[in-house]
Amino acid sequence: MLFNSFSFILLLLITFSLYYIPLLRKFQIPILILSSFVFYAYYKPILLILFVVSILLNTSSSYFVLNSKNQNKRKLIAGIAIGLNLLLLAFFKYSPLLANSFREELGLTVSWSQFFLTIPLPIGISFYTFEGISLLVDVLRNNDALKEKKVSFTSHLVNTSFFISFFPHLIAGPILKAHDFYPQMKTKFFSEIEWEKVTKYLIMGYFLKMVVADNLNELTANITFPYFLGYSSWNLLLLLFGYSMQIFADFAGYSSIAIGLGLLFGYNLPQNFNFPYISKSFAEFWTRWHISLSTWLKEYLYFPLGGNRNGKIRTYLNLFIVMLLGGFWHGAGWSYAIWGTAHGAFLALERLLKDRIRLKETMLLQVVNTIVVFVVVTFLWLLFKLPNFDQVIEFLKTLANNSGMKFVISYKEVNLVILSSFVVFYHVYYLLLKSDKIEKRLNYGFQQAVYGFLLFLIIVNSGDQSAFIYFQF
Amino acid sequence: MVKKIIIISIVLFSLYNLSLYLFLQNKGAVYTDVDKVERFIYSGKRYKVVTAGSSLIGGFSREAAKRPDLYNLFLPPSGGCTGVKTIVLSGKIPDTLYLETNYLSRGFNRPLLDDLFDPFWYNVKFYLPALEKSNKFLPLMIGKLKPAKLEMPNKKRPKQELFDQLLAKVSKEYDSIPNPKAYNNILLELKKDLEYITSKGCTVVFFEIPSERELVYSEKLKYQRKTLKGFFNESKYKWIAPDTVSTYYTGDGKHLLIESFDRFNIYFKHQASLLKFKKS
Repeated sequence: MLFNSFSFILLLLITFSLYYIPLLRKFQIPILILSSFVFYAYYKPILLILFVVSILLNTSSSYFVLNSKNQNKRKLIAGIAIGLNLLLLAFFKYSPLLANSFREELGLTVSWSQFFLTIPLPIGISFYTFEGISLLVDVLRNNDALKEKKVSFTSHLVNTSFFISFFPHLIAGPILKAHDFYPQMKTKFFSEIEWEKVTKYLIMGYFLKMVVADNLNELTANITFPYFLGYSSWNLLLLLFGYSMQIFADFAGYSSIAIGLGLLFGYNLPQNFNFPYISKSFAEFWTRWHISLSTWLKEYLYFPLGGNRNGKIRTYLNLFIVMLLGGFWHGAGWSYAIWGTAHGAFLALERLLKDRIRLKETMLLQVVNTIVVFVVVTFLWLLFKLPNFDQVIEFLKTLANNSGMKFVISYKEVNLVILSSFVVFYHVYYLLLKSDKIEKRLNYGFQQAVYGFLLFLIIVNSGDQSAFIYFQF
Repeated sequence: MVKKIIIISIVLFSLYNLSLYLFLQNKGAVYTDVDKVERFIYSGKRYKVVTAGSSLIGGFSREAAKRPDLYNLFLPPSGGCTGVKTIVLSGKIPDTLYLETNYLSRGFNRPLLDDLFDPFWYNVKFYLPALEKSNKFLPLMIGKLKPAKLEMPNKKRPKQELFDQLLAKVSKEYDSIPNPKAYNNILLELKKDLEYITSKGCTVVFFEIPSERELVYSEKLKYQRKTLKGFFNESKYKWIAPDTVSTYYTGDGKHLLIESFDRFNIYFKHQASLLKFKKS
């Protein structure tokens, strides 16, 4: 179900009404679980089977690990369960890629190869698999924040089902960590809703998605082979810039809606974006973009690999491995692996340069760094837009060859610039706020007007409904 | 704060609706299928002549800009069947409907039709034009500052490398016939719609947009011509015979270049005048 569909609004209204009825207060979590299952299974009920299997696997194994006193057995069960989680993810997400790339090496017959190629990708599998692993690691580490030690199996099943299925984050994150979410499970009251925060998150989220991303989706559609061959270099750069703004607006919009919805039911979901395009380094970029994924990878992969504790070479290698796997997490395609590898290489290179060269952090250097990071990140998005690597090369060649063509400025280019400027303004406004260039009182009045205007634009300037880009991951 | 935000947005929404009634009636060019269908439904005009089809008939928009009684319902991804359904559901039945046959195989764009003809929103938009997609705020404002040009057919072919890629793609598409079962189902539904509008006094004229020389007798076009004639016989519906004699040039394998479109338009008008002559 899409957050911007009428069926979702209806489901939300029903869930919200039931959730805060005093008589039903003790069923708050089951109400949200039921609603989340409807949300997940709305288009393809069959997807529920795998989803329920994943929940049962994580519930039973984490319950065993929670209650067993034998350390070796706990490790064994947690290890097996994590392995099964990864196996499920690998089977559903990467079988088609492997069957396609290594058909001969694997000795697959045509019918087997066809079977693997037609395996459907269950929506949100990358997200809920990582959340299941987070739970298993947290219980294995005896994380007291969970407070699940003395609960019955049934209660643990209910809590875990809720943790994994809570609909705001279910399909495209933010990725929750068990130790952040379980402690929040308690009775919620209508009077505790922070309406101002909820309103701001929802308006900003729907604006970024429906007004900016959905309209840019139509305007950047021509970054598709072979259509881009007919564009001038400047037009291609503008389209690419628009796509960079679109992917941010799409994903940050989704996350903002998810956080707003979480707050509506009394749950704090983690921030997923923190003005990433003002980053002065790649390391900073990954503390601002898809934060819940990067912190998950840091906590559950980078640190266990040794982080930066085993010397410089090992640190570079660890960064590289984490980003490569992060790339693969995004999609079963070699382009995604190249995207992750490139980010890993830039992170390692940046670290290397930082270790060797000490430069004074002047304003000019900061601006140059920000531009460099933005340009590189934007060019790397091409690997998302054109998952066929040959087409990426073709795009770059066209960019170099079509410099003599006329830069066309039509209505579409103007619209693209205006829509992109909302994202630029969003970042600039944050910088001004951070540097105290905007007075607080002025800021309050200004915010009311801006949010009012954004709500108006959601009503009168939404693009055609399209799925969120990150759904495919 | 929440109340003020809502009040501000309601005030802006009301002002925008008012300005759409008062000042913003000349809305300039349209782009998407939704825009074109909405403009047809909510224009407040009844058109005597409608051309319906895919992007291949985009060139008729120049004619439509000059003639207030003509509407070019060309729907690039949706195709002519969606145009016919739009006429049926809106009840705005023209005297003559010219229906392009090249992409009837695309069938009916259900999501678009369901969205635009949802009984509640369909009626609300008559009173609140700001809710129409074709009245999106930013494009309309941009259009006021930098008036949009009509989407014109290309003047010349793109560079050879690109043209070859595009033509290869179209040739591949034209090499195979549409799924016969699905195509028949589409034509059965189309027949019902056309029977309805002809019963209301509309004359339906089928025509085909010319293609590149090597595609004129492609499997797809041959199959479509034969099947369509079987469904819509000449005793009830009018036909403009495909111009398979002249040579036409396209920019991408299917969309005629402006010069070719103009040449086709002369042929089309001449043939149409002969039909009218026969009718009278």
